[in-house]
Amino acid sequence: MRALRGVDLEVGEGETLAIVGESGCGKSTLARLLVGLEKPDRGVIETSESIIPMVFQDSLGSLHPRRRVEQILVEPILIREGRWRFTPADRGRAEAIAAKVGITAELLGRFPHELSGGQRQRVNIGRALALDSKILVLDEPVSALDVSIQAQILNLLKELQATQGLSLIFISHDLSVVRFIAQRVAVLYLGRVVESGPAREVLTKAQHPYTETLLQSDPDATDGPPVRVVQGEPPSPLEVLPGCSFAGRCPLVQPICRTEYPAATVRGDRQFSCHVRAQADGTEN
Amino acid sequence: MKNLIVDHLSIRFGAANPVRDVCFQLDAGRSLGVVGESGSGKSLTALALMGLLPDQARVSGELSWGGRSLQAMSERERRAVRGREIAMIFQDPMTCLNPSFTVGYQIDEVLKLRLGIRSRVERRKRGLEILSDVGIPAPETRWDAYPHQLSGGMSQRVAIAQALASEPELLIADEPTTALDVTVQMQILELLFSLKKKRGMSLLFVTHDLSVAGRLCDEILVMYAGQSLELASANAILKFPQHPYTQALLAARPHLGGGASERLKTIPGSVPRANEQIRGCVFAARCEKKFDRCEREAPVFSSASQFNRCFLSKNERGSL
Ligand SMILES: Nc1ncnc2c1ncn2[C@@H]1O[C@H](COP(=O)(O)OP(=O)(O)O)[C@@H](O)[C@H]1O
Ligand SMILES: [Mg+2]
Repeated sequence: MRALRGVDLEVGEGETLAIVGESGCGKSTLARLLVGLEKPDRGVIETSESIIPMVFQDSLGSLHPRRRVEQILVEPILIREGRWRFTPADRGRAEAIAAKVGITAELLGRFPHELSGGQRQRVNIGRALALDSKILVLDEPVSALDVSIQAQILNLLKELQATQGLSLIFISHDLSVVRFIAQRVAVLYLGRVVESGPAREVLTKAQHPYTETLLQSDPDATDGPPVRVVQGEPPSPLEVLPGCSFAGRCPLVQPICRTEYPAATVRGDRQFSCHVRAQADGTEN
Repeated sequence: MKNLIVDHLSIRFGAANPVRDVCFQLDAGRSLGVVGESGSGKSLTALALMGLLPDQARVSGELSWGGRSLQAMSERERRAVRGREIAMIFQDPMTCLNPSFTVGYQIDEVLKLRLGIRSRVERRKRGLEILSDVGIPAPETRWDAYPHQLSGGMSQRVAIAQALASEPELLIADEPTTALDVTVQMQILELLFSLKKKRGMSLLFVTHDLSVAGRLCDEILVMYAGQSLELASANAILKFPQHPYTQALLAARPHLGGGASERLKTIPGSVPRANEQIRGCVFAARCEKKFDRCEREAPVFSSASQFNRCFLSKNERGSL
């Protein structure tokens, strides 16, 4: 099984690239590849960083239940230095990291289960930044949080980005959140990037019918009910079909879509893979 | 057709009081979105209406359905209402579906026991119609399938079909699509609301997402810390929110159409615990518009305050 095919992505310094798509589209596989939890069969990942840290959706599951917040925050430092003991000097480091991510001093002695979801996610972000990485991968970091807490974490990420020049790879299914946090977007469908470009443009003038579908499915999209809700569900990534992977659900489908995967149409800093839209665009290549 | 009235509903578990004062009315054939962050008491309110709260729960207040008090009913009457007149679906479709029985069997049971349809042939015909109504393609091929053989979206459709099979007058849907993919989510919600219209039933739709409720419901009830804070038409809630909590909730959410503005508004502090005694307004501690009175005295939620539990509501303002 191939979870990802021909994925080309680039994220600049201090930039946020959002990867958008539904479950099973390969978002999480991509995240795991980026941080080295999995190895690609083919292709390369190039970065100036030796370690790319990652923050997960499940804020509790990724924290050691019997370690205190201060210990968790400096875990990566201890691992790098190959030691186990938490020293008084580490406490100072933990405090500095905590201050960066808005964790107050009285929380440093607590255990993960004594924290709220928002506080736990701050701890996860703090730990990820312990080694001063310049790039961070976040897999649905705010999806499990209530709206008011979501806003705090999103603000924090933006702030960190501005003050530390961080690059973020932000994986999400929530387009409104993406619109707020990202400069660039790549839309993934069944392991392929079907459209990418500046967030501002992709999320207002989508080219790929799948991106349009996502936009119409977003409750913020319009005041009234959507013009057209796509039918069917994403097929299993195990089924390898010739042609465009969205053909089975696409309202614009043409015979060619079922036989040939569309080449990417490149227009400035935007890119999309759709036979029908490429023809309409008149620049098929 | 029956109206649903919830008046001063309170639910206690020992010292905890997770539902403190919930009031609303849902008129026959209308849809009401019950919106609030997690822990605000939405599910408990829904379960109270179904009579499915755990035994330790102490319930006070009035729940009235078609002019009859739900609490005054005998267990037998209650079960009859639950089976025939009010149905409920949950976030996890497996709450309603039995994994050991086929899709067809579960629908068939409802048609046999609840509607009393004797003929098996007739039941199968009706059952297939319902499955096709909820958007299950080629329902004959799914009739003998087990729930685990279906995708999450398909299972939720079957759960909806099962709930609708008894032809309820009121459907309660508690976060029915939260676990599903975005494109599937909208499909199912559109389906739910179109079925509501077609069948003329009432819909109580529980969600944490104000935008979803705003897009689909007639009215919205905003809940916080176990209280109803604001009730108004969906349009009014989204465009002219009155309660400071509703306003804060709307401002905290990024918008697709909005620019990538520098910061989102956040709500400082955290939700009060269920066992906390609160003398004044439940939101006062976090409210940016609070003044002395808010922490001393509890604002009321009634037609006099225009269903806005706030001393700043138009009519309350006169009494300042
Ligand atoms: N059986 C119970 N005993 C004690 N507390 C409970 C029980 N069930 C629910 N609660 C509490 O009630 C609160 C509200 O729950 P719920 O109605 O599920 O909220 P919502 O659906 O809005 O997320 C929760 O904080 C929960 O801790
Ligand atoms: Mg709930």
